[in-house]
Amino acid sequence: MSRSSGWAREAQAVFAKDCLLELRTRVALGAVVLFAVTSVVAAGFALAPPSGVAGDVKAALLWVVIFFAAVAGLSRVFVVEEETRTADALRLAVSPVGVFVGKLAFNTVLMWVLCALTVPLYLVLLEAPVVHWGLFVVVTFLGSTALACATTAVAAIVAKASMRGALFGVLSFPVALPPLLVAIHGTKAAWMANAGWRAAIGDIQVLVGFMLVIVPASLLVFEHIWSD
Amino acid sequence: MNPLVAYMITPLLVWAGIFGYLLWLDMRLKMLEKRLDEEARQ
Amino acid sequence: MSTTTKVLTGVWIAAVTVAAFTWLPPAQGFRNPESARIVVFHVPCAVLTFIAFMANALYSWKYLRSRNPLADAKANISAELGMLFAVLATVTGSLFAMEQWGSPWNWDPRETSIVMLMLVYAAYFVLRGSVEEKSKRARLSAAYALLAFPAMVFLIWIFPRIVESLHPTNTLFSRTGLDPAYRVTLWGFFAGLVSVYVWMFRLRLRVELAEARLRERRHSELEMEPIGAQP
Repeated sequence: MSRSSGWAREAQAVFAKDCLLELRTRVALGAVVLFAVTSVVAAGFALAPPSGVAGDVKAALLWVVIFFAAVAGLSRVFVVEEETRTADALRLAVSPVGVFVGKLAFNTVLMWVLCALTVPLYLVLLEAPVVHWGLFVVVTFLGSTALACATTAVAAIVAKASMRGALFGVLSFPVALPPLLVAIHGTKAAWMANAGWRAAIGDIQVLVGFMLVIVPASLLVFEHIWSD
Repeated sequence: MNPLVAYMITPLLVWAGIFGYLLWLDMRLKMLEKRLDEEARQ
Repeated sequence: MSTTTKVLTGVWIAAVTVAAFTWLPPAQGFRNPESARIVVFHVPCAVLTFIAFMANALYSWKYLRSRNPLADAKANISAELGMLFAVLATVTGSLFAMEQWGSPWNWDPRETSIVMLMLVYAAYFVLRGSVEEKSKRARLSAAYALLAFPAMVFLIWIFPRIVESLHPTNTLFSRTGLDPAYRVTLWGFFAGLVSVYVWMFRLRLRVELAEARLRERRHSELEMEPIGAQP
């Protein structure tokens, strides 16, 4: 077996382990989805159609909800290892790259599930004026993936510090800002008849570029965060 | 606001910020060095 | 830094300031041509902000490679100085905005991005405050600084270019963007600020080292006390 597929296999094992644990306890998913649904319902109640709120406000609000829901749950993957004291065993058994890629995959899937469950609900409850459906799906997909990429290494940092809950929000906000701003911009473009793909192509490029930068950067520093 | 005031005040602000910080650092350093001296003597 | 250098720096900055008000002609194309002089003071602060945050990332990287506490101290100081210049750039910028665009705050992309930037490094200081153990604090904050670095580059270089901005782009480094007199004065002030930056950096480092020495001494005194002294 070559070295490169060594970490891939490890990552797969970590991912499978986390998924199994999540299916059994449903803590992260429960936290994330309940947070999102609660805020969507609250927002829908407050901004119901006669209120006449503009589309760009709704686009910004959608991403604020997704981001804060992510903050509620994405740190779980690392915090749970420190709390149950399984981190040391994991450090011995699996290479840092394997751990990071596995955790990143788990968080990414968590974000996709979150978006699949809450975004349709948001669109219905707030009567969002989606015009370019294809673009909207692409931006949501890329945006949620980028958020997972940006916050996974921060989750590893937070798991080592005190006051984890509060700290994760504070620390992940700056790192997640670029994809957040761009995703809002792209979503607005998808909701306006006169914008569409042409207006959002820069956003898509930046989202992809951001992931191509932040994932290697995370891999580079993760080793130093993870090993004691 | 009087435009004259606006552009006269900018360099002053930059100076105030920078030299305020420098002065504060200098005072702090003097205080620390004094304390180190005192403790060394004890 | 020698006293001569400090005095020369002071004279230099004073000379450039005087030149900015007397020698520099008012610039055309501004709502108030006289107010263009603010640019001379505003832009160098913004450039230094970027340089300081760059230094923060470099020293953080150095720390992770060498695990030398000095590199961690230098990273922290760079972030602090970056914050200082960010505040100065914001204040002078909003004075200029009041003159030029009629309101001190316009949510222009560059205004937005400098606020976001201050949030990034405020979070860095919060992280440093929340970890007790020294080597762990250095390790985690260095890792965070390197993660925040791409966000910083995005906010300064990319974000203002994809969103409509009131600020000009590409004037600073292109040949035709800036009137020669303005270019000379602006970079002259910048040179003075760089000298002050080095001065501040060294002074702050001495404060840091003195604090560390004091802490060390306290620590060794505590260890000498008998263990059962406290009830």
